[in-house]
Amino acid sequence: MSDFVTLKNINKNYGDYHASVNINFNIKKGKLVALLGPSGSGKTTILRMIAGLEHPDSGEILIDGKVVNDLPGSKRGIGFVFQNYALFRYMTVYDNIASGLRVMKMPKAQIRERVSELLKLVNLEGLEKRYPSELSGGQRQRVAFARAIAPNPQLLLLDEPFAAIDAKVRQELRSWLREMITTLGITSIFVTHDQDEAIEVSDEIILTNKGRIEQIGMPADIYANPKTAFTATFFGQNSVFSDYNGLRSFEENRTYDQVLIRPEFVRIFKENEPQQFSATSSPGKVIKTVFRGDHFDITVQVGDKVIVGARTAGETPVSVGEDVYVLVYRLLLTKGNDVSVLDNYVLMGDEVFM
Amino acid sequence: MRENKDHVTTKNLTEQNPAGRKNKIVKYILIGICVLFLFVMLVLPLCYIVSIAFGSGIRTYLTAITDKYTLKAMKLTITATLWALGVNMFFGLSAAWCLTRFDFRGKKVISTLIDLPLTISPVIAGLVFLLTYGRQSVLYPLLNELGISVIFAVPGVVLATIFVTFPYISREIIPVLNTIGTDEEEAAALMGMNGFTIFRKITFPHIRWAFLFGVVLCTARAMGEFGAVSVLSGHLRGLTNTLPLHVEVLYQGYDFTGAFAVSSLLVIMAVVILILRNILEKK
Amino acid sequence: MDILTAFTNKREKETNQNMPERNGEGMKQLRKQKRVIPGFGLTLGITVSMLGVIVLIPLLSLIIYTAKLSWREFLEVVTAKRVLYAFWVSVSTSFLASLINAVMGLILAWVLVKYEFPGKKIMDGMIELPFALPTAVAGIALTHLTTKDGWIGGLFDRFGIPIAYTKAGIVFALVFVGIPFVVRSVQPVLEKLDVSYEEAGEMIGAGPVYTFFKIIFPEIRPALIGGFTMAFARCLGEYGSVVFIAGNAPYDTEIAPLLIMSKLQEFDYTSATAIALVMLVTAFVILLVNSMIQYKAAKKVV
Repeated sequence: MSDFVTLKNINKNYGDYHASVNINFNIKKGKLVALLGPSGSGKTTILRMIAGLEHPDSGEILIDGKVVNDLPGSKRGIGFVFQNYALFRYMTVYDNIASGLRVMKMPKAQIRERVSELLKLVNLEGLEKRYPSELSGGQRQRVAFARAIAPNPQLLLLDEPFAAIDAKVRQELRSWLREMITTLGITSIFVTHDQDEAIEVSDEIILTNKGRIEQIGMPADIYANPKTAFTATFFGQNSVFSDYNGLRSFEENRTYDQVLIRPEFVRIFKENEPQQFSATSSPGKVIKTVFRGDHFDITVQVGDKVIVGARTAGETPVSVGEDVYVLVYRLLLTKGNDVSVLDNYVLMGDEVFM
Repeated sequence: MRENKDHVTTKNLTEQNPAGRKNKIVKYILIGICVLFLFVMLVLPLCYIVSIAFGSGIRTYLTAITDKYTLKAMKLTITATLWALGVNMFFGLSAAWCLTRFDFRGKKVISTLIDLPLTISPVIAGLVFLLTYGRQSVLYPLLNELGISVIFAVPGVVLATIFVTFPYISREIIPVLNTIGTDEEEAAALMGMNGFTIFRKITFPHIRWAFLFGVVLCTARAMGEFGAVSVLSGHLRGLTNTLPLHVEVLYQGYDFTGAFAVSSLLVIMAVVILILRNILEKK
Repeated sequence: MDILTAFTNKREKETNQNMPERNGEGMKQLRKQKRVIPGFGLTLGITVSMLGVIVLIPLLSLIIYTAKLSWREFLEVVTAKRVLYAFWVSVSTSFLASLINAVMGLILAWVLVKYEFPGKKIMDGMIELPFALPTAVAGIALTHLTTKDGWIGGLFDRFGIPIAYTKAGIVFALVFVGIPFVVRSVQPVLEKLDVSYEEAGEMIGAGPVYTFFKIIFPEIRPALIGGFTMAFARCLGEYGSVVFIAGNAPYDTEIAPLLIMSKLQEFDYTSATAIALVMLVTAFVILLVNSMIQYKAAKKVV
């Protein structure tokens, strides 16, 4: 597949504030890409530059092989879904969706056809006469989506598409959007600060921090193999320590700043449970359990460390105060902005947990 | 149960215990003061105008308001008001768009300058135009050559009216445009809509009530302006007198019935404006 | 430190990041060379050129004309006894009228916000009458009301107190002009003020007087000062409603705007400009002081 969107050495400053520093990436046709990062990391700026809402100080933006730096946003063949949808509040749903088509001077009959097709697609038939204020958050988002794709853009840009929606509906909309974009096969980029959202929805994640790109990759890959300390700390529910003294079977004499342990690097055994690695696990005491539906988050005090692990709901429950064995099979060590993996040498190569 | 208890306490506070009774007395005293104050300051003058205007009978009243000079003054007032409205609508919309949709150096200076006429005494406003277009001005020979007289002529009256009402419309629109943000316009621009369409279809519906509110305020001030116009008009009866100036002329000539009759027209205007204002404020 | 950071779990991270990524927005637009929303050049052009013709050029001509005055001339004009007296009359009557309006405005705002009673809407609606009624009309009506034959003037005349053509008359007219300022600046603040403030006051056993002065008053003070200064500035420049009721006798009831007017009628533009300049500077200083007070108050809240 060919590169569809390319950013080359993009820099953008606002006064002394560096919003984008040397941004380079390629996006293949048909992919759904997440621009992920904490607030202020410059992800929205990147999206707005691709849309033509902002202009880079230097560097080139290419869409479908053409440099679009000097092309106004309206000529770039993009659809844009704003964070708060920016629906035209004084127009009906129908007029909102039709507005882009009217600008293109499409014949009336054709507009009607296209709008009803879109309304059907986003499941809003019968609501065309409503005003945005009479819709729910989820419905508004779908109108915004329909409006953005109405003129058949080759590229769809979404700015925090789920931020304004309450948690319940958000989950539903995520899968809906994923499905929609797959069906349409349209290249899409969306901005989010939520790692779960990025992992769940996207084909590829571009992780940004302080105006720079930290890492680009498939969600599973970026999660499992963080290349920078920032990536390692950003993903997962890490327990963070300044050393790993007291954890058994880890090679010593490493230099590092911080030790990260993710819950999936940890197994927790009850005292009476048979297990073959008793020599490598450390004794601990349960200090907190939190029921999460399909599993329990279990917090254990091991020596001077508090480690969080999980047990599935199917396993025998553990209770607070109970003595357990904690087996840690992997650590992430950070040094500056580098990160390295340190595996438990007893278990090296074993596939017990993955 | 809880609600019930709350109910009892509030009732206690307002009605049963002595403190509550005292509060009630305070309430009626305060309302009484307000009613008296507003009655004396606002209602009485209005009633007075009407009573004097009609004091010598309806016939005299009608003669006074259909007098040749009154009608001419009314015509000039309407002309000046329409000019002020036209100019300020155009300016107000441009300035509001420019100041809320873009960031640029000097924005603060511009918005301060727009509000300046509000802080200047009407008499000084008149003086300033006198200095600009009067005999001692550098512009005077040029204007004279062209045969344009500004001072003591209709253009002066119109200019003064525009000046004193200059900020009225933009001031009402700017806060509204600031609150709604620029997202909708950006979305429309990305669709390729041109500026005028964006303004007409996307922006204007948001500001139409604020705009109308500004228009109403502008009308009130334009029709009623006295000080600035007084400096510039030269009081040429039938030529450069506006309604308020005409009232002054009649009053100085001890034609009280006439003065109050003409005033009653302006009172009607003021009351209509007040009502419109109250309706629009709720939108 | 370990134990503390260990609990930096995802939930906390999320709340930190939940703020939409718009914090750089102010800066974001600073250097927008190409603008997305159309019409910048056009509207800026219209705005600046109209502003230039209507406001800037006239003000410039005032400055040019002033520059022609020598210091001595200027001082001579503004320190003339009649002029000084006119300043004094203007400032003292405006101050007194604004003070009356501050008190009455506060009571009016309180009544309009805190109480329910029939006719409240009408009362609320008529506050702006002084803005809507042409000043000349107000002027002659107030004058006539307060002369010896007028409804109010007649009443006071029995006690030998003249109103029209005295300083009292000037204050009366200026009170009329300034009514809306204090009411409309205090009212919204009172509306926003949480009822729990008063209730908290009552809870700790404070009397209503204590509650008002110690708890509510500090909250509305900036708005009250703001309304007062706006009214004061307006009163200083007021002409139409005062010119009829003031006796216009030099050294007694002649106000500064009126003096400017009579200088203009004598075509003495030099004196008129000098007096106007002093008044302009006074008005700006008043408004500047007010904005400093407001700025300080706003900082205290945050």
